[in-house]
Amino acid sequence: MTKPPDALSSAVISDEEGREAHAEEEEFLEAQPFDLLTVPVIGPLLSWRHSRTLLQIPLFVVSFVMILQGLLGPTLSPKNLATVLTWVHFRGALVLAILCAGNFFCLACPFMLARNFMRKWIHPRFAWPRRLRNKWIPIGLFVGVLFSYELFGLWASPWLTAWVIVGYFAAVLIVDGLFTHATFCKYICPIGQFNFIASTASPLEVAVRDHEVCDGCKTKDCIRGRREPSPDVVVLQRGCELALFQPAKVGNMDCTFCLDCVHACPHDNVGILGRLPAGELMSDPPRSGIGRFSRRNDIAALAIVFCFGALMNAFGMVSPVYTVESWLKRTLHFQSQAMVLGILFTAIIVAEPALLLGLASWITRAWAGVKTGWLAIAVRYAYALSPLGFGMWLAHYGYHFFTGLYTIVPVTQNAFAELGLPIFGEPHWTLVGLPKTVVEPLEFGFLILGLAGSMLIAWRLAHDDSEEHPLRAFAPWGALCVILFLCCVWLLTQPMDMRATMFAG
Amino acid sequence: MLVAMPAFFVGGCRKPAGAPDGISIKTSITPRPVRSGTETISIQLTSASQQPIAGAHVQVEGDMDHPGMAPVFADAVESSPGNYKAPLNFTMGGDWVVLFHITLSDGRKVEQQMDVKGVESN
Repeated sequence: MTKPPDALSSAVISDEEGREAHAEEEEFLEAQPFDLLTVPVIGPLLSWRHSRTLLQIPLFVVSFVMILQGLLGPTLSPKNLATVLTWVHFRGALVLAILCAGNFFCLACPFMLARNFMRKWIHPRFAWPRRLRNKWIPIGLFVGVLFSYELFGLWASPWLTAWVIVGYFAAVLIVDGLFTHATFCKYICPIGQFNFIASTASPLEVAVRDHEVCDGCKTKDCIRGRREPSPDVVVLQRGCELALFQPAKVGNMDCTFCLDCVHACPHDNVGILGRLPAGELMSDPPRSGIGRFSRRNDIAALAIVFCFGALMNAFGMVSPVYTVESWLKRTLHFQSQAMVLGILFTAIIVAEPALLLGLASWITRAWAGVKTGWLAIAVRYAYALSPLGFGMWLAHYGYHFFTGLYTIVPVTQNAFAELGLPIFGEPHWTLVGLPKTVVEPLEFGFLILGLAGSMLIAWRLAHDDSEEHPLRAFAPWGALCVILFLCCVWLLTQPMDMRATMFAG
Repeated sequence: MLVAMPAFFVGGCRKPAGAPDGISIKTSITPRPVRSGTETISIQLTSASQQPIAGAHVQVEGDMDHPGMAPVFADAVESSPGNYKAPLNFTMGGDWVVLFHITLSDGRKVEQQMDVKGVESN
């Protein structure tokens, strides 16, 4: 595998390369792109130096309430704020925000509020080990979260959900208490990696407004930050902690929308700009702090896990999964739930993509005459699957979000009523959400959107790879996208069957 | 506010009203295995002296164990003294929790819970 670039040293790619990378996107946006920071009210609010803290505080308070309710409140999952907010509202709102705008949940991350507070007194001393500066650990954690979700039925347990939140706070404080920069966000956080890869399909990106202004910039505050002139230790404004140098930054990968670069730029030259969603995946420019996507096997693996994990996560919630699990249990004489689930995960998240992508790569190489090795081809095209994966996450989480949209009302009413403070009245348990007849078309709309994005990306990559036979290069990847799309459609049409007890029945 | 919150939420930890002293609540569901669709829930109420308790109002509530799903409700009908039956519509397969909200004829309230694991999809 090609080593990912050293975080800070690789961050500064020449402005020339950065400009080239943006040229293609700018073709789609001939006029001055939309800039969220110029929108009345929202723009000044986000440009305010303490805007992030302002957004983090409510989520921090909500997190605290969720922990308390999860540990001490009703044990029934649909009646507890911890489970309702985590598994219905948070997940749904997160993917919808990424679809409609960008990675605003990382911006408002409550864990980072606790971490920033800690760092007022505790200054980390260590650099994250070079060999770990990649996405393999968070990929493992991401799969671990999906696995635990199924194995322990996290959705059904307010208590476990609360401990997941507590564990997250603890992990952030330990990692970022020991290691410098945004180590947790970039190299550990599974939610962050989910957001990074999903937000490649977002319509907004933190980006430079005018590259010529950057050409004349001497201080590079957007990445270095600003310090007091003497003795040069007091940080007045952080630069990018994720090693993304704005003039050479391409796309949303690794960007937490923290807006440190916006606040640091002395020329007010960083905005939140409109762009073609998923356009950043149609080419392979060098990216600040990342390098080229085609040389990052780890990020390609993240895209694959993101896509096939969406299928696995949905598969765990429909009826046929229990037939498969029972068959595995009978055939292999397994008594352990974890082992059966392990086989399913291995089949869907490892074996299936290895087989399908390997086959598509082999066909591309043999039929379209692409000279590079099959692994390099697989890595290059793996990113094309992320819009389809995102479509499936949207369909799944969007379903729970919309059909359970109003459940927060009776659960909140109940929380206050249980406290002896029925200020919002008795719980209206019949208040649930939008009807399925409204939500189901939305699900298929998300999927079709994802398929269209994946097909377009695969076509653009194929066109670049084989000018003589672009159709031949595209065909296996287009077919793969269609196969996965049909799998998603099949999953969405299966009867829902949500059991925390896998072997029941 | 943050300091005061734990005290508030400890209140939320109190258990629902259980069966008053001596009152026996037996619940069952037929047929087995339970499948999605309407199934009959039976409730038998007896006093400490093993006498059937008639005239109670029994409301049955079914919740999926996944948050965000619509609960289902049914009022039980007294089929014979102390025996109540309610048709409950399990709208989908999965793990369900059935709650019994019982108001006795003297106004006392009783809560009971029954787990219905692995309701099968049709």
